[in-house]
Amino acid sequence: VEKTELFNEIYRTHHTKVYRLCKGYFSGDENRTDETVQEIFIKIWDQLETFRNESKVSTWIYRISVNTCLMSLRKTASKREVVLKELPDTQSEVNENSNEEKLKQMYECIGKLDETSRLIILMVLEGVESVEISETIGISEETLRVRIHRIKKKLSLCVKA
Amino acid sequence: MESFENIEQLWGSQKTIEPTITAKEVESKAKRNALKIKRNHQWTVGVIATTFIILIVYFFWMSAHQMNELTFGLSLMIVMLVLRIVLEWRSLKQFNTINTKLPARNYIEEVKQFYSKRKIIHYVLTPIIFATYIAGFVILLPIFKQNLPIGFYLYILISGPIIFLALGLFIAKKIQAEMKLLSKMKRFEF
Repeated sequence: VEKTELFNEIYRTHHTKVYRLCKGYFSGDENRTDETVQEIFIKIWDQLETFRNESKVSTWIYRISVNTCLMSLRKTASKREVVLKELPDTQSEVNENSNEEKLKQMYECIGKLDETSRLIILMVLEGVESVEISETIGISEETLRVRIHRIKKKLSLCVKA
Repeated sequence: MESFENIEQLWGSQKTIEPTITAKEVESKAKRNALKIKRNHQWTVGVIATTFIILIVYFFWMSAHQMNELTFGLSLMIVMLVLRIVLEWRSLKQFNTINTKLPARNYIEEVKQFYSKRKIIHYVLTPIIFATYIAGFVILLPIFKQNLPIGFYLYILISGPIIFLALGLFIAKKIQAEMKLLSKMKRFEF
């Protein structure tokens, strides 16, 4: 019961973060995201008893998530889902669609980054602290700072273009 | 970095995502998954143990002095098949012991070491196993010719090489995919 309660709490508080990390990593591909998020939470359930409080629970979850995303290379890429959308009826829908277009472009730009840069910037966008990102990726904070600066520049240039 | 602030704003403007399945469903899936892994493990052990028991009983029954081409050829094929299953099973177990909770840099390093070690299986052991398996088949051919109707013998003679070729291509494709994965991982920047 204790394990179930702890898992429910983790699932409730971390699902969105993990989902957005994966969605960004897979350039917005929702099928691959869903599949990988489930795989991550299955791993979290399986390994919950081994969590030793040596690091923050969020760092532990990010490590499992990042490693699972990186290892998704083992699977063959599933086909991207093409969603056909109807023409917008109202101004609010036009704005919404323009926002979606921007989001789509942002996902495409993130997808152009190399694998680790993608995961680093996604954690930055999620507001994860530098120390936690460096513990998740396994690089020093100094190296991370330089990496983040370079990635931000690259991403900004891509989104602007 | 004004543009990056816009990106952050855009990122934050995304709708809240509702999980497609509940925590309880994930829990059930995890339990089913664990059970499936356990069953697969039991099946593998069962198949290997049964094959060895059959082989040992067969050898005692035939007794060593009656060793002929049939026993030899058949044993070569079965032993090679079992060896291949054991190698893959051991590899899978080794892969599953890689700690997913490590920092990504260390985790990828361990995965790279795992795939580098698998090169011995791919480039040394697999060709030996495959060649020995084919040798076992070739040894059996004269016995098939003597004991089987000519039509069936011709069918084995023609379909055998085709199956070996298809199997060889399948293995080569799998090896190629693994090596591609390894070279991609080597390009990861940390």
